Amino acid sequence: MINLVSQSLQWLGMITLQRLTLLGRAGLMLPKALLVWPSSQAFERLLQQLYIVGVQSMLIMLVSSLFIGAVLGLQGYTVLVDFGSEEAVGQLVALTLVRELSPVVAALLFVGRAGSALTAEIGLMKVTEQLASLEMFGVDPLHRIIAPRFLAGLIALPLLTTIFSIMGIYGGHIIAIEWLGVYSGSYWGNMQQSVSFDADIMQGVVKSLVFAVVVTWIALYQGYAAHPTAKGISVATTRTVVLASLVVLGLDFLMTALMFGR
Amino acid sequence: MSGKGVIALEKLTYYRGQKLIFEQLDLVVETGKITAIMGPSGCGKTTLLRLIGGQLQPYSGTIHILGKDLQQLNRRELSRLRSRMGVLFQSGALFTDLNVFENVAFPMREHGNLTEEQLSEQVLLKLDAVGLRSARHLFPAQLSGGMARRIALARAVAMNPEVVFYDEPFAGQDPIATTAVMRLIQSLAQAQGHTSVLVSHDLAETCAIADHIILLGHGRMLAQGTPTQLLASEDPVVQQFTRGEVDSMMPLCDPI
Amino acid sequence: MNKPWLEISVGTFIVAGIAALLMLAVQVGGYHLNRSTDTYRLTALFDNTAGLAVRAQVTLSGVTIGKVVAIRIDKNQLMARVDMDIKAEIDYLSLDSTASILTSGLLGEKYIGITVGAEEASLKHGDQIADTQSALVLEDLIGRMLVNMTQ
Repeated sequence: MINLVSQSLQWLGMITLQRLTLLGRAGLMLPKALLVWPSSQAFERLLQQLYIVGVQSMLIMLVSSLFIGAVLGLQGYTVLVDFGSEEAVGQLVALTLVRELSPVVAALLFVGRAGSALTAEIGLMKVTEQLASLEMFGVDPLHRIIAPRFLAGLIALPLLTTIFSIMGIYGGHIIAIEWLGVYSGSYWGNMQQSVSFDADIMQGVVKSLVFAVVVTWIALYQGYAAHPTAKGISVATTRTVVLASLVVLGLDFLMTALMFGR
Repeated sequence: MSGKGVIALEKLTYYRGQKLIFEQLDLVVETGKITAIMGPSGCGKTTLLRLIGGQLQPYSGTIHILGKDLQQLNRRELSRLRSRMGVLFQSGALFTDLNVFENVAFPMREHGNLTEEQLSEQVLLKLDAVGLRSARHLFPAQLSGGMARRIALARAVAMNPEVVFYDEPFAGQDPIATTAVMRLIQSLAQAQGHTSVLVSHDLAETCAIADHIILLGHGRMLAQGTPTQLLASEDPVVQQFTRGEVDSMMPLCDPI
Repeated sequence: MNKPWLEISVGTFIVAGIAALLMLAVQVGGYHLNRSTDTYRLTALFDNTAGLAVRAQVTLSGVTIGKVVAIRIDKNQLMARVDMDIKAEIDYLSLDSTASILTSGLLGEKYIGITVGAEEASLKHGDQIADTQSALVLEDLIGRMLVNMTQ
């Protein structure tokens, strides 16, 4: 019995130490990557990554935001019409999107669209010895490969999130006004009265910034630490998607509790 | 340090995890020759190249390259030392987001301060040396395996290095490509006068071009000598490797 | 190495993102750029502010002229003290103005309606509106109606 307890304690300690080491390594990666004097070439690389991570994610964000906004409008209307306050549908759509759905859904889509690609790309660079080869040319792969991708993720996701919000609100607008016949003035008027720039919009932006850091960081670290085999890359990609999605949802709850909880 | 050769390992010990890879390994590579490091798969040949390139730290022992003690160097000095070495990686390791021209130009852009014209001239010269000038606008994904390796070779010698390392240059190549790479290794070594270190398990090809062969196994040096000496060796361990006998006194190394 | 389409598309992306933020601010948040800069503060004491919230509108004849910034208890008089920020250009509220808490629609939000009096002098920053009318509480209303009916 005592043996069993001591064994499980030992196991627990070992697991904890392993996790902490991993976290430490992942933590060290970022400052190492970012502590470098930027050059014009670095700017060019950042631009390229912004294209891959940001511009190429636009389509999926636009389409899904329109649909999510439309569904919110439809669902909100059917509930609100019972209380005779269907003009509040604009407020409902806007608040739901700006506070919660845009940061979270945009981050989740970003994980799937860009995060997994980042992990796979860097993992493959490791397998094909491109990272080792950079090192042999006296170039730090953290600076050359990790840093521009991290910055691109950091810039792209908040922008994608705001685009997501505005497009979602227009999606709701299309449904509520064109289809269900809510008066356009009350759709926007109610919204403007109840959505506050500092309390709602900016906090959504803060959320998306936090998600951007966490998601990009996880994706890059998983790729960088991937076991350099085909299996290793597939494991790392899966881990990126699962881990980043869970962390986004967990952090969202935490931040909502801190920002809007009483 | 001179007189000890281009590369000198002394009492090198290295562990990967719990597994002992090298134990008290002493090894010298002489200037200007083509030296081959051979051994069965999984005996740490690639690890040895990584150690020599300073990408891995030995557990104990010293590594001298081009007269410098690797452990004594800071990052900047290591980077400068690396610019005097060229490496041909097993997979070629061409940068997939750059075309052939930019791949060969990469080390020159990083280390040299050439004008665009000088750079272009140098790159085309290196591409001529491997006979692939016409492929300069292609991307690595568009190249055959043999072509990719020749481009990687052009990139490895782009900075006119003093030592060039080849990691399994013949692995996975068709006979024609293998011969082409063999000829290139020899002709480049002659033309540029650099020392070549070749890591391989392809006995026939290696014996054809190497001046000196070092046979590794079990973390130690099993034998060394010219190809003729090695092939004529009476040592059963050497014979097992040269003749490819499976059932013998030397157990095969664990794959990693 | 020169790829103008790449630079153009990334530029467009960033402009679109910033434009989206601006649209959120102006069209969704109702943010006015000169909002916080020129306002002046008025206070009013109410018996009952039931349902009035911070950020509620302050209107004059139905036109928004400011917003509620704080609601708390005045310890000396044991009444609710409401602070309002009024736009600076509305500098003609007379000293004897009335502030009443009103409801938009039957179940809508509470807001403050100001009715201007006859006095020449107008309210300045930090002034207090003396004449107030508290929120209508539904239960009181029903109670009073019942009393009237039984009489």
